[in-house]
Amino acid sequence: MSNSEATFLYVDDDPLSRDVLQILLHKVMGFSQIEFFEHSNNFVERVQALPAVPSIIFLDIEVRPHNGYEMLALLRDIPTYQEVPIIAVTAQVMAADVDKLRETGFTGLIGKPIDNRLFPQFVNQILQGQAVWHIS
Amino acid sequence: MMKLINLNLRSKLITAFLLVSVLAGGLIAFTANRTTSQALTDEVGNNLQRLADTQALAVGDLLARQTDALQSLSLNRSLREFSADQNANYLNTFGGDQEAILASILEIDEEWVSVGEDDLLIRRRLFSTAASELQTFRNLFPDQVEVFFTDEYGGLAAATDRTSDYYQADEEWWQIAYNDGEGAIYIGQPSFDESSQTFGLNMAVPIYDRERETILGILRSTYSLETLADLVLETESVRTGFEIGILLPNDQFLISNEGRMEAADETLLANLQGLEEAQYAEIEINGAVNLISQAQVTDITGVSGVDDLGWQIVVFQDELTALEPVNNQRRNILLTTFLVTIGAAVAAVFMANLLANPISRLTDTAADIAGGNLSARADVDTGDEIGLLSNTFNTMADQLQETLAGLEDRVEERTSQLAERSTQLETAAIVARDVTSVLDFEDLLERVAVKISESFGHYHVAIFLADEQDQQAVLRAASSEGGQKMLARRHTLQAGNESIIGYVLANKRHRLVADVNTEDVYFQNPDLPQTQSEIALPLQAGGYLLGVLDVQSKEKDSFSPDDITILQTLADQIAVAIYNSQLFENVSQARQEAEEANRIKTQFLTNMSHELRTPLNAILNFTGFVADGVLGEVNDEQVDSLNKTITSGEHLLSLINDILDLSKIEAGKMSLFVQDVNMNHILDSAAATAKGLIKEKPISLTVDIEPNLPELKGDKRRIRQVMLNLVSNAVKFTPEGEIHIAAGHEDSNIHISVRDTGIGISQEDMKKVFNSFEQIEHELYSVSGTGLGLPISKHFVEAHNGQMWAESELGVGSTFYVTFPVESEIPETAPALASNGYPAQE
Repeated sequence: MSNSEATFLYVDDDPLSRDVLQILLHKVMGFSQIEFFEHSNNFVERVQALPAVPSIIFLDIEVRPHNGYEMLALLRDIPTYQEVPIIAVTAQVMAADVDKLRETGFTGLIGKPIDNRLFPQFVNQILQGQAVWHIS
Repeated sequence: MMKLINLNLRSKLITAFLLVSVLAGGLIAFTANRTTSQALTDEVGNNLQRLADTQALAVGDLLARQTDALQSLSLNRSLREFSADQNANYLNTFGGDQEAILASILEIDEEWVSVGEDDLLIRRRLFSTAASELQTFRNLFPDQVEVFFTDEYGGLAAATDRTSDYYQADEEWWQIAYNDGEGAIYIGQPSFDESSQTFGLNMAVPIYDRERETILGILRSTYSLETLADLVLETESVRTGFEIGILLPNDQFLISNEGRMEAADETLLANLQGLEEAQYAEIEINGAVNLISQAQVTDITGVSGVDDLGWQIVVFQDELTALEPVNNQRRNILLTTFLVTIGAAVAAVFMANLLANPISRLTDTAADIAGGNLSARADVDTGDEIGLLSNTFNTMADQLQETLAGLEDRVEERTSQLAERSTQLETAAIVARDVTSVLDFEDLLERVAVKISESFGHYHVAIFLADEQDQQAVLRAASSEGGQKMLARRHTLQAGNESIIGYVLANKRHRLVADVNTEDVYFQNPDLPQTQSEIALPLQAGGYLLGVLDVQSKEKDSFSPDDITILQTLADQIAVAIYNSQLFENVSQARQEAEEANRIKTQFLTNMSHELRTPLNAILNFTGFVADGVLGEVNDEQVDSLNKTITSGEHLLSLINDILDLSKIEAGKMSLFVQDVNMNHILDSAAATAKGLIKEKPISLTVDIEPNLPELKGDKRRIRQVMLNLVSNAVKFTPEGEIHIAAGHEDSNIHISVRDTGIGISQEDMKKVFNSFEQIEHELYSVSGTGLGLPISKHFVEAHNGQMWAESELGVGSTFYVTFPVESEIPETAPALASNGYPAQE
């Protein structure tokens, strides 16, 4: 899969954060297939309605009604979503938070504020199957 | 084999001795028997052979003498003349007509058979001069039982007895002796003569003319073997118990002493064939084993014709008889061996007992001692090694008994001491238990005092509590009646040398008065008149003197050093109890409040971090997008302004991170991810960062880093954070001038220094730079800083067992020093999450 064909899903209730990721993925990196959820209502149905299984799913943690951990669990219950990289994009980056992210099975973490100079490199690493755990 | 191993020593020795003697005896017997038997058997065989040889020679000689005699007779003149005359008669009568001569002779032969004894034909042959000579010869040689001779044509010339035929030329003996006119000696094989009932053989020799050229006739005799048998064979065999026979070429066997001839036994024949080289053989004949030997009958002159007879002398001897000496010898050897073995067995048992008995006695004694009879001793007087061993063993047993006896005494002594001590330790345990279970403070002190009094048997035990300044002690618990009175009047003592309690209060160590009458420090208490000795011990815990434990006895010298030790242990426990209960009463609330405050602080920091990071995400990224031209073109002035915004945002972020680091350090929750650290990499990277930071400032950077610094163990990211902090501080606080980064190592330490010609730090401020949240006041305070970088860096350096310090002069510059030990044990912990990175990214 070449980078230009990669598809993304980002769930975050903060519109500014969604804008940042939109610019990074689209304007900076040139991806066009990016889906944004601003809440987690009917989460599974909406995920299954996506045109394609995303190459990477970015999840904020403080999302309602299902938070990031719950969304992760729901995604992993979908057979076709078991291998998809799921990256937490959150400002909750205390040691205990990171430990919990690891324990619950997140593929990686890109802490807020996102470092826009490193972000393209992180996305490429994740697409190549590497784990990325980064906090600015 | 296992059974043999498990035998006792005595049995083993006997077995070994017996085995050796039986083996040796058996071997000797076997060898002796073999060699002797063989030698004796050989001797018997040789004797047989000699006998056979002798007899063969004797027989040969006898026969040779008979033929000699016959030959001598053939030379007799009468015989010659008689033969010659008769031959001449034939010639005269028939001329040379041989057939006519033969016919004439056969005619006479028929007549000879038919006529009577008195017929002239016969009488002329029996009573002539020649016949007379024959008679004379027979008289000389009586075994020559019949003698006669023929003319050259076979016609009978003269005889001692009437022969059955006249014509003899058809007989085998005649033809052999005549030998077609050449002449030869004939000796025939024996045959049984029915008339004389004896064995006999025929001999014939030619009668030559005087010139020995022409055969005139043939002289024949019948030789009786009776004499030969009598003289040579029979007598010899009877005398020695041998059997001697003559084996004839026709396999007939002449056994002389039985007077008959029989077919030879097949076994005998078979064995004789193989006997040519061997001297003797053993064969079985008619169920009896015999030794046999043989010899060819020969005539030593070799001319008699005896050699051609092919006779063999065969000598037998019954083996039982022959080998009787051998068997006797064998029996003797066996008997001797048996006797020797019996003797050896007796000696073996004797020797085994001699050796094993002392060892058995020693073993029994050892078993006795092992079984608990320490007074058992080995009774062995032998002068050998076993005796020596026994003596040594006895000595050892003496020492053991002595040692154990001493040990028992000591054990008894220690047991009683321990019993006493265990009571006291039990008290200590009860006190410890009370300390944790009794909540009421006054109740606790009361119980402890009574318990100590009961356990140690001292009549007065009291506990004093000190005031905050350790100036006076107030009685709070007491076990005795006198003590209760003292409690009622709130007995209080001042620190100083006026009383034992005061002494302990002042000196914070125990005070012993072994005899109250001799010590000035003792203060005679009216409520406790019976006291003869006293000890007071400090109650210390948490670094404070909390009070005094006072114990008084009605006897002098009541307190041994051991007692003091255990009382001090008790005192320590009481002190801890007092300390804890005081803390519990006074401090627990403060602690709860502090914990709550700490929890709120942590929550606050967490929230602050989260709440600030989210907007910073938007601020930093959008500003960055604009500045990078992602969202459209911007001019340089705008980029400059935007970058300042970004720097401010990043500063805010580093502030957040520093605060979080510091809160973790203060909470003791900072952990290190320890691995091999290459300091050259980190320092090069820090220098590169410095180079980037000074780009827009009039600062020159010099770097003097020793290549190949030793690797050290540590948290790579934290060390890098320290280096970046020092470098960025230097750049921050140096408006212009010089920054010098140096690193080297000496022994087992790496030294790093960062020197700048910046604003410097005053002596007063120097004390604060490593403290949290203190940033020095300065007119050039335009530079940003959280004031947390140095305290955090210092913490990290010290966490690596290193040191960090600074030298500075205000307005001249500062030098920051860091040292790291290369060989250092740094607690390995789980990888910690950094505020600005994560180990997975390293």
